[in-house]
Amino acid sequence: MSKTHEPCTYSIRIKGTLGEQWLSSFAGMLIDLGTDGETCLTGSFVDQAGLYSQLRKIRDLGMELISVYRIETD
Amino acid sequence: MLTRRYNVIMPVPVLSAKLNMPPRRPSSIRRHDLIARLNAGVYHRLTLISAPAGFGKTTVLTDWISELDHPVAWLSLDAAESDPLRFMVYLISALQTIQPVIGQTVLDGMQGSQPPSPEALLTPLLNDIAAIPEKLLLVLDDYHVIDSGVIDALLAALLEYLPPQMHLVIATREDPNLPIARLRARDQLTELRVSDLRFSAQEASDFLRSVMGLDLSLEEIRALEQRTEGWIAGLQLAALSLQGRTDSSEFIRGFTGSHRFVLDYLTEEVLRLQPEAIRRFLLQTSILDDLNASLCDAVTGRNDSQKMLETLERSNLFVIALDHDRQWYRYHHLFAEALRLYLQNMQEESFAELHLRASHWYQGHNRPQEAIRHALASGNSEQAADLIERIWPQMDENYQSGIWFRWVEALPETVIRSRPNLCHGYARCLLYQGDIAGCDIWLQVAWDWLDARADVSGEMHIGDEEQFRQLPASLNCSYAYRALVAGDLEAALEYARQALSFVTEDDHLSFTQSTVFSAIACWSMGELIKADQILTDFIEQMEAGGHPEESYELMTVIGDIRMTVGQLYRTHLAYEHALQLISNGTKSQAYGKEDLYRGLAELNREWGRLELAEEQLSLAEQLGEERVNLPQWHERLYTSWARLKLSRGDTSAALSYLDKAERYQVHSPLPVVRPLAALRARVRIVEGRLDSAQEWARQQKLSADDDITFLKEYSYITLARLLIARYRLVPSSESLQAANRLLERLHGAAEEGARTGSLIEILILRAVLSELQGEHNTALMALQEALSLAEPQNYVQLFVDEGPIMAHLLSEAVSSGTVSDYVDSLLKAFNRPAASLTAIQPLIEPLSERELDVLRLLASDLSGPEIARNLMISLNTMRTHTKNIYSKLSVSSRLSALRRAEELGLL
Repeated sequence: MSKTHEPCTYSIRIKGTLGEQWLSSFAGMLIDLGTDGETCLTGSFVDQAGLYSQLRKIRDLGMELISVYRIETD
Repeated sequence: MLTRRYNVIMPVPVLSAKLNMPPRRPSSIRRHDLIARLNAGVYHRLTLISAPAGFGKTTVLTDWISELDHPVAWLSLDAAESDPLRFMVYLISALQTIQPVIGQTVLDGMQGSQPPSPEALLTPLLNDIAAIPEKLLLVLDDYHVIDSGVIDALLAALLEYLPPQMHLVIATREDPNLPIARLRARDQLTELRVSDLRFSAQEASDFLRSVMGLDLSLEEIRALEQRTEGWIAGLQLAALSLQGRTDSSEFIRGFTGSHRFVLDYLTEEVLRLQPEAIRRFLLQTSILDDLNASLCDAVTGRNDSQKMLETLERSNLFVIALDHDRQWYRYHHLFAEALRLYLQNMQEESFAELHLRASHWYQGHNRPQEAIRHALASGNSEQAADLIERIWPQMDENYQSGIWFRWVEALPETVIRSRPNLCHGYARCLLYQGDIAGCDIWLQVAWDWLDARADVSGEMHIGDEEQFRQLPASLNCSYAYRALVAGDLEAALEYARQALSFVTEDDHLSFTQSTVFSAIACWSMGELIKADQILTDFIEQMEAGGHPEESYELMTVIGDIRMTVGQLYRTHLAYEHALQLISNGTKSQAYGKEDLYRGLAELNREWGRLELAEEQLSLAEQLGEERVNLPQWHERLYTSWARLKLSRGDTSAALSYLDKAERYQVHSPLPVVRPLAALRARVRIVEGRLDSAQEWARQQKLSADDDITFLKEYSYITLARLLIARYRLVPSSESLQAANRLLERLHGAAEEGARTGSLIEILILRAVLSELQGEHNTALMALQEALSLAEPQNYVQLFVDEGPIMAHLLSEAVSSGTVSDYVDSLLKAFNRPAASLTAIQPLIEPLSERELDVLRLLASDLSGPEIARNLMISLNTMRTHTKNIYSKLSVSSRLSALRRAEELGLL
């Protein structure tokens, strides 16, 4: 199990798919446009503050947050 | 000048735009139900409007409020208000738009270097609000930008103790960390959430048909409503997309069939529909926070932006008017975000280029802060650095070094390093913040650029030639200031001298600074004549040069020095002269008369004209209230009041003024010649509370055998007073000798330093002590010496403050042959009712050694007979002693005797 407060990879799901232009809002993240009308953003964050900052951006764009998962890496 | 640059706390400039409610949208759906709920909710404590962006929070608020009868205070929050003190300043400023005096005392109290905690500020604010007769509302818009537990706690406390006439409204994109559940349970909350704010089917229909003028079927409307889920921003964009089309059903099919994020999909659609000119306009101006015609012209290269903006607003294209004359607009932030994303992908326009054009426009319109913001956003560090460099002197002068500091920090370190002006300014900011180590590092970098011998790598950049020319002088000034802060007076003096040697003709700032620093250093070292000379020359130079106002701030500083040296009349002349100049002056003074009147009051107090002093001090206080004051004003004012009240014998008033003075204490490089704690100890001594005074001496680690330095003179004279008071109580040889030793050394030091004012006080104390010893002739001799020094300057209060014993000595002096009008007038001064209460003696008659022995045993739990046995006296003798003790202490019980004895420090 990874230690707390270390860089982590998170997968964030939002409702709706995103056009190309929106990639720059999420620079540095992998964008997976699902067929089910959801988008999955995967990225590594230096710390929790970085994660919350990204979540706030999502909120401010009016997007609907579906889930946030931490992805364990070995 | 003196205090402006060296005040550690940066006052907050209030942008009035944030206190204005945005004007109503020209065409919007009237949300009757919501407004009815809001109206009903005014009788609760809190209305919370919590929903994501694009649900019309601000729209429904502005619609509601513009029809409300009650006064409303509005505050649009930004992330910067996450600083609790800044938040409080803005909060109070908003409330002051309803009533100008709400919370003014709170604002004033925030000027000290130790500003009170936000919680402590709340009570006086609530009191002010409670005094308002009518219902009022406070609206906090965009609360989600506040990221501070302290502010959350503050608002929770505000809600807890909310006066009934106040109603709080919070609009936010996320639920605030407030006791919402509790308010809900107590039915003190009105909530509008997404489910309330989203358009109902009917509202969607009204909007699409009536407001946007679309001809849609019921099914089509329902489809749109479902696809957007009532998200108002989404519906607006959808409507815009439909406005240009002939075949709405095709669009709706495409839209509802797509999974794309609504904002994404629709922005693209809307943009695609617009004529090329409008699309370019939208994209290019998306980089701006606020738009006006001239700025848009500059950024887009057009000349018809005013028409454009009006068209956009009419078409509901997310352009919102910010003021009623439609000069300034703003994009709805969602739309702006989306636009910016498209802009970044456009090849033709360079993001950076647009920002530079905006920066240029703001520069030309004297809005340097926005110019810098855009320059930084353009990524052109050198451009931004030039602007930041040039604006430093102005921002330093206006207390805005905090903002400036943050801009510099946005620059790459290599850029900062290459610019000596920036290094210097940066170092100053660090010094203001108290980071001496950081300051030293950056001063060194700046210094190395000037030092031909230093080995500096890289190229030097200079954005402001004039500033660079003045750098040798200003850099030395900064070193001098730094030395003062660190207490290294010799170094400060040396650096100030160096600075003066480099000062150029037109560099007033460095000239003033280096002069003042030299004076401060001399003063702190006890070289008062020299300090006086430096400052006097400076004042004359300023006057001769035609800007006397540069020197007004220093007047009472000089006055203080001169009074210590014993030059009362010269001080009076200087004050009157300055007052005359101010009255005749045509330039609007940054510095007013209040401090001069305060100075006059101090002089008149010294001259025994207590009523006049009181009048002048009241006038000073009143004048002070009419203006924004220097940070030190309140501390000085209340200290002067305290001293006046003490001379009047009103010790409790003196103490409460000292409390106030302490609350307003401000850090400055001026030496603290009369510490408030020492003044407080003097009041305690007069009260007879020797225990408190003793505690002060202990805390300050003062002893009668210490070396006397000038800065500590006042404290040691206070200690001497304490020793004399103790001797009066308990005539022990120990306190007598200690007092004598101390007074002798004080005498020597004051004589050596030519401090006649202090010397007179010391001689008076020597006279009093000698008299108490029974050495009458020695007492008279000391008194004569004091009188001969005091007469030329007509000192009165120093004598009167000593009370009956001094009156007695003076009459003795007369009867032993001294003939003098001066002494006669002194004696008359004692008869004034104001004088009779001063220097209350703690005991009419001191306790004898035996009585003290009994008293000490009374403090134990021994019975009367046991005490008598212990002391080997008869019970009767013991009872006599006890009776005398009670009588001398003016008490009637063992318990109160012990209490009084403790107060007097006898146990």
